[in-house]
Amino acid sequence: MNKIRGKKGDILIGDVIFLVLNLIFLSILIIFVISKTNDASLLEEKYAKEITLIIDSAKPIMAIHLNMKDAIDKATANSQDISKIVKINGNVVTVKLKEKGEYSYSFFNNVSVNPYIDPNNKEEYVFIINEKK
Amino acid sequence: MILGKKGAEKTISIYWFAILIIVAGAVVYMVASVYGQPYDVRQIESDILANNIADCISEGGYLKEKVLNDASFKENFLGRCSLNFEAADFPGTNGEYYAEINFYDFDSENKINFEVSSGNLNLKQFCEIKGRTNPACSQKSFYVIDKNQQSYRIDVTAVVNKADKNV
Repeated sequence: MNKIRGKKGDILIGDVIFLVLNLIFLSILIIFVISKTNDASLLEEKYAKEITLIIDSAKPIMAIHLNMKDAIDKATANSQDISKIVKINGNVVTVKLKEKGEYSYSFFNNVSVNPYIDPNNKEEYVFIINEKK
Repeated sequence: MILGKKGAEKTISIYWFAILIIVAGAVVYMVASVYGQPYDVRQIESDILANNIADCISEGGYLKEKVLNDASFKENFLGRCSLNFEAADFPGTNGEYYAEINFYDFDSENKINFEVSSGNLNLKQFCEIKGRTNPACSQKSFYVIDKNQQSYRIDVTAVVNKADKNV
């Protein structure tokens, strides 16, 4: 009788270990997927290309508001100055969300672009499109 | 009976371990294949370029003045259409863009001897070849009339390479 009880107990401990190991495995997978999807490099590329396409489609005397909450959160987490996330030098957009590295992409629309963070909404960037002088 | 059960558990745990490795491998492979490659925006870029050129030469279905048969338009096509084909983020290349405009008489379909083009001509050959690594090509054809009610067909070709950052 005692032996049977002991065996049942062994099975329970084994099941618990099995479940815990499965949970650890699933957690590692989920953390891996989340870390890949929220990678700063991916966000830099995504926003640099998005801003480039927006500028290419824009016409002079336009003001474009772009919600960049996830990028701004990431830059804040990486101790970056959020007012300097997006830089435009000539016709090249550069997005920087981390200490090391940045992503640049060029646009073909020959316009002058002034990017700045919206003072009324710190989750948005504003792009003022003007004719090139 | 008890030994048989233990043996079965061991077999199950080996299979389970194998399943875990397969699942982990599949997840890593899928994530790497989705997020390991750059976003390819070249087709959108070439579409926008073709649209910008179309807007530059026509408005409301009418051909703009000083476009057709205007030598200054041909010489200063990029400046007139507010385009800049320099790509400082692609140093050492022969140009990442190509744009071409061809004019046809709408009634006779004869090509008018006034072709406007700019950029890297070598990219144009890839418009006929399909392939993920080839430049993105957009071809746009539309009808316009000039101020004398003469009708034309205009073909615009826009090509964007930028393969290094999109493929």
